[in-house]
Amino acid sequence: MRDETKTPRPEAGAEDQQKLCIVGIGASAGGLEAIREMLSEADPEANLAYVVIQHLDPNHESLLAELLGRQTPLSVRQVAGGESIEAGNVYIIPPGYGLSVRDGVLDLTEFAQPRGLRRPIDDFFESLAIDQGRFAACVILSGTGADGSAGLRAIKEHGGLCIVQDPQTAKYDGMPTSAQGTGLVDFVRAPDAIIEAITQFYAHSLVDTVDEKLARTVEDCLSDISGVVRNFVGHDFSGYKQSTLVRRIQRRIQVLDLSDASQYLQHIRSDPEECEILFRELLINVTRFFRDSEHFAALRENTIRPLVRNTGNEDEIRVWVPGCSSGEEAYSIAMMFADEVRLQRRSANIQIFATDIDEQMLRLARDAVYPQAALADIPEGMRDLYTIARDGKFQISAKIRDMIRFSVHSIVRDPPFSNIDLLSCRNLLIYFGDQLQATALPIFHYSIKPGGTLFLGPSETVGRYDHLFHAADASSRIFQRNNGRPEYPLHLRGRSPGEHAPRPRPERDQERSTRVEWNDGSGMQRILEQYAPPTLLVTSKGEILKSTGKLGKYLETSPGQTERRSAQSIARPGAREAVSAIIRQVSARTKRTISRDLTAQSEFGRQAFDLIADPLPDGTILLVFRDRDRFEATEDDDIDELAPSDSHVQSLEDELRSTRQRLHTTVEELETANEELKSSNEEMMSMNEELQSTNEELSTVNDELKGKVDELSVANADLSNFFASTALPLVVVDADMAIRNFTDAIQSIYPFRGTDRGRPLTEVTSTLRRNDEVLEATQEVMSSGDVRHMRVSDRSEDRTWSLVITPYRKRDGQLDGATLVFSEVTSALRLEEALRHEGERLRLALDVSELGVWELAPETRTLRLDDGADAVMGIEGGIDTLDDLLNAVNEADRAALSQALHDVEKEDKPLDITCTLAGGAAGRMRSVQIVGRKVEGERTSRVLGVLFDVTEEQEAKRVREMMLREMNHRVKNMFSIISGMVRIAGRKADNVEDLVEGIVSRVNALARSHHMTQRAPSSGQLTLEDAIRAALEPYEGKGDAKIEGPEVPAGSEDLTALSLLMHEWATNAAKYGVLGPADGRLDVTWTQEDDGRVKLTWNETYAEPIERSEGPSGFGSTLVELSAAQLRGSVTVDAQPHERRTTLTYEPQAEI
Amino acid sequence: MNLKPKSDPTGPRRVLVCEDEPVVALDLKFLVEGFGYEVIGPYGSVEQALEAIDAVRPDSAVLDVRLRDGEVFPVADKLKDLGIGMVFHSGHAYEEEICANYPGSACCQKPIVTWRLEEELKRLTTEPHPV
Repeated sequence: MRDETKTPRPEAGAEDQQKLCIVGIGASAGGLEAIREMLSEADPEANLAYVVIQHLDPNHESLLAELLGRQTPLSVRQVAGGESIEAGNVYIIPPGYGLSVRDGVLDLTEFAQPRGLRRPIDDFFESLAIDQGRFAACVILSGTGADGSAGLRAIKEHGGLCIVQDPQTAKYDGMPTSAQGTGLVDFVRAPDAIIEAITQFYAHSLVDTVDEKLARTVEDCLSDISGVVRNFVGHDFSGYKQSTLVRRIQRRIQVLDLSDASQYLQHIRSDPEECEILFRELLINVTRFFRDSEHFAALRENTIRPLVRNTGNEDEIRVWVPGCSSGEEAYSIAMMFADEVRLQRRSANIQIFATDIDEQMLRLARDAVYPQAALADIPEGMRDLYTIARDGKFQISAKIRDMIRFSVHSIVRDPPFSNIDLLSCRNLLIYFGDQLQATALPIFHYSIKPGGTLFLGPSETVGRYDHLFHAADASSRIFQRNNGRPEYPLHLRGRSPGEHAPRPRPERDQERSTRVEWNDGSGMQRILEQYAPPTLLVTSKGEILKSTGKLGKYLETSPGQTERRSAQSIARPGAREAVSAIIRQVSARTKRTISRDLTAQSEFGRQAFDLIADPLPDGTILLVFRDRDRFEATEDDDIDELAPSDSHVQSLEDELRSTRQRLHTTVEELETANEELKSSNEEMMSMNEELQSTNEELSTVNDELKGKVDELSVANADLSNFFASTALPLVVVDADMAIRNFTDAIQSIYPFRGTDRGRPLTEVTSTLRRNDEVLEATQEVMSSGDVRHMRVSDRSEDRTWSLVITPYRKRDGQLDGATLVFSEVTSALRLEEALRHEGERLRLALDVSELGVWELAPETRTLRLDDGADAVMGIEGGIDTLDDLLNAVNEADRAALSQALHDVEKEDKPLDITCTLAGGAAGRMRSVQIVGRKVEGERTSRVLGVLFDVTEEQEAKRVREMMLREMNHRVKNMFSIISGMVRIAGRKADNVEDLVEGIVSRVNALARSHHMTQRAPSSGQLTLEDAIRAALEPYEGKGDAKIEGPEVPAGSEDLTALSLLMHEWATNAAKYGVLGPADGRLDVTWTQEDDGRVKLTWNETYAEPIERSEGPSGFGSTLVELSAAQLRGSVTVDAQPHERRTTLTYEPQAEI
Repeated sequence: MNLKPKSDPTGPRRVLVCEDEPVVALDLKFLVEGFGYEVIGPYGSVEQALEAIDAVRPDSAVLDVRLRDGEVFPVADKLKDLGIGMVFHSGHAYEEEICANYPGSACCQKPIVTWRLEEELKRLTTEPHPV
């Protein structure tokens, strides 16, 4: 069994049964830091959810979620209402709302109370306790005031866990200390250890099976544990409801982290303190002022009001509040009575007995000091009347406190009070088992006088004892005692024999006890009333607290009167002086004192007695009147005898009385003044209270702001580092053009000093050439909100900056100044300039040389031609792609061009190709040379080149080739002619001289003919006349020659033949005719017929008739014939003695 | 009806000479006659040559490429059709092309090499030519 329970998680599947535990965190001033510390330890995987209730300023947006979110691995959000709580999340209360939880869903609530009286932590804890029971935990962190202490009680009552921050670690220890003061806290830890404590506690509860087993072990050990408690504390819990007991013992086991109940049994046996703690734990119940206020209202209506109305001035109203705990219930009832008395203007003697078994609680009750927060529970009208503010707390006023007597008393063990008018026992019976309830109700019946009232808690009833009580107001649990005969409860659960005596009361309790237990039994009562000497219990001032015995002989009023009177004033003559003296002495010396041989004088007679004063530890004094003699009846003559002495005493007494009267008046005045002061003080206190809560909220805001400021200073540091390190000249101006910030690099433009921040930019000198334009532009940007770009330079124009002016916008988008960023572009500009010059030179070169530039992007096959290239190509619509270019060239060149382009692109071969352009008219074909090279770029490569028109070069080349061919032909022809001529001449020659002569002269003729063609006038055309004159040129001056005829052109084909022919004729004439040996005249004339034929006559007229030997046809004549044939003509010769006429008829070559 | 004159197998062989340069023409005439052939021409134009062929069928021909009225190819074509061999005699550089067009023909560069002309003419006149 022990082993089983020790295993924390026995089965794997059990984890599914883990129940979510909700941790409520209450914090106020100084809470942010504590929450942060606490949650930074949180494990997002744990089955815990956190709800943070922080006192927040309702008018201020909360940054808590934002700040916390950065410190914890959990996801943090501010509650908007309606969230279902899930593990691993932190939910933050929003400002201006309360928070409650119902079925695990968070709800926002409006505050009912004014600021200063709100208790959001208590409210939430209470709802959490009701909703989650023992799976609720509450943590109270730093803060002032006492919010959370009441909520903590509720958590505890429902079995939840209560943890408080160690006040020493808290910035403000008000809340933690107050919470600790309830005595209900399970753990007191530093913030970072809180989560650990929660986890440890719930390690037991999380798994249901373990939980059940633990509960079973507790059940098994229950009677033993009760026994231990009874032995030690003297209170027997065995009759209490088992489920409650088991639950609360189980809690202790969890808190102590023990494995099972038997361990706990050992622990409790060995540790008396634990016994005390358990005792208190078992007694926890939640109580508040006017809890279930409507029930209290009903009680007032139903019972209190009639009781007050019907009571006589001297009657006593007796009220008993058993199980009063910390006293709230008793005070509530007392206040209602007091209020009713006030309203009905009656004076009633009201005695309220409030009892409990827990000394510690009674002490709290007697102090009657409660946290400020509880004030809200008291109806508003009563607050001012019956409470006094005390430094963050409040106390019930003395008037109410005096109505109540608190005492230790057990309903089931001690004899009951009797003759009770109203018995209020709320939320006590629910803790009792059936048997105990069956005991309690008859006791109540006995105590309450017939017609008296029983007031129970909302879930309690009289059950089967309806013959003892009947309901007066069932819904408010108000019952009336039936008139049955009371049965004295003889079966009080006394101590078993052999048991220990009840535990000795701690000394501190004794001094607080203000009352002797008179009601321990009727025997004692009888002894006191009949046999004990008359005794008074008085305060050190002499006020009578209680009296017993036959005091008529010693005092002037009847005993039992509870109105406070001083013993001195009512003591009979003879006793009065002694009483005054002995009280004074005893209160000074606190020693038992006896005053002997006194005689008390009454109207009936005299009595000799001793007076004993016994100082009690609590400061009261017991006065015992011990009779010494028989009572002597008074005789009449005694009156006279005593008169003189009386009159002296009388006059003293009169004086005393009047003095006392004056004193009384003075005291009353003082009291009034005091009351006024008190009420002012109260007002001050309540103002203080509000101020304090405002202060708390402010310090929360302050914490948040501090976090924000920290972040801001980091951002600011970043910014100033940026400003210091950047090389970018930058200046920020505000809306008034005042300098807001600048970088160090700005010095080159504006020589700012640190003190220039705030100075208008207009006042600062600048190195800029046109600073006024910059300022103007800045103004414009600030008014229009548009970004401006401009270029500025310094005075010497050495440096140039590109200036960007951007509007400075606030977070809401409003314009609030401008930012000027300068980027230096001097070197870029210089580069640009150099580039431009370079480009211009290049362009000029290209233009002059008529070069066009082209660029090919091989990937896209796109081609870019500059204007020159376009002009050279002369393509309509331009050339944009490679295909355009290929289409532009002649079909024959396309393949070659395409290949060449491919080569330059792929193989990096330089491109150099000449193409003919397509589309030119025949004979006007234009040629273009394209040169290019591959250029490797960073990402892509391109082909870059030039192209130019080479049409003229091509044409010239063609002509040159043609000329060369022609020249070659002619030279070869000339060689043929000469070789032919040599051969022909060789055939006919008789001797070498003639041969050489013939050949040389003919070669000369040919040369002349050739020379003539070369000399041909550029504009004109060689004519027949030219040929004739050329042939006659060697014979210039040898005879008269007339050369005459129309102009007949001589083509080059005809020229050789004509030249040879004329040469032969001229040679002949020189050898035999007028150009030689014979005198005479030569006429060379020609005519052209209509059909174009030319008739040329070579007429030699001799001065004397000569005989010209016409040898057989020689080489010369053959040549003439041949030449004529070549000229498509014929030659006739008419030889006479006086003249020789040779005629050539030929057809001149029409074309050249 | 074949109007073309038949060659006389018994008489001297006839060689058509086309040359527009008078001196060269005369030289050729003397040379070819000297080889023992009868010369038709020489003619300086295509027109004259074509007329001459119509009149008398030559057995062979010596042709200058460029004549006064144009290139000699119409004459050459006609001779080729008639199955007559020929010697091209020219100053141009493209004899090979010409010879390729006229199978069996020969080329002799100007100035003339007499023995070569003689051999070619002899070959052309004795060897049978495809018609």
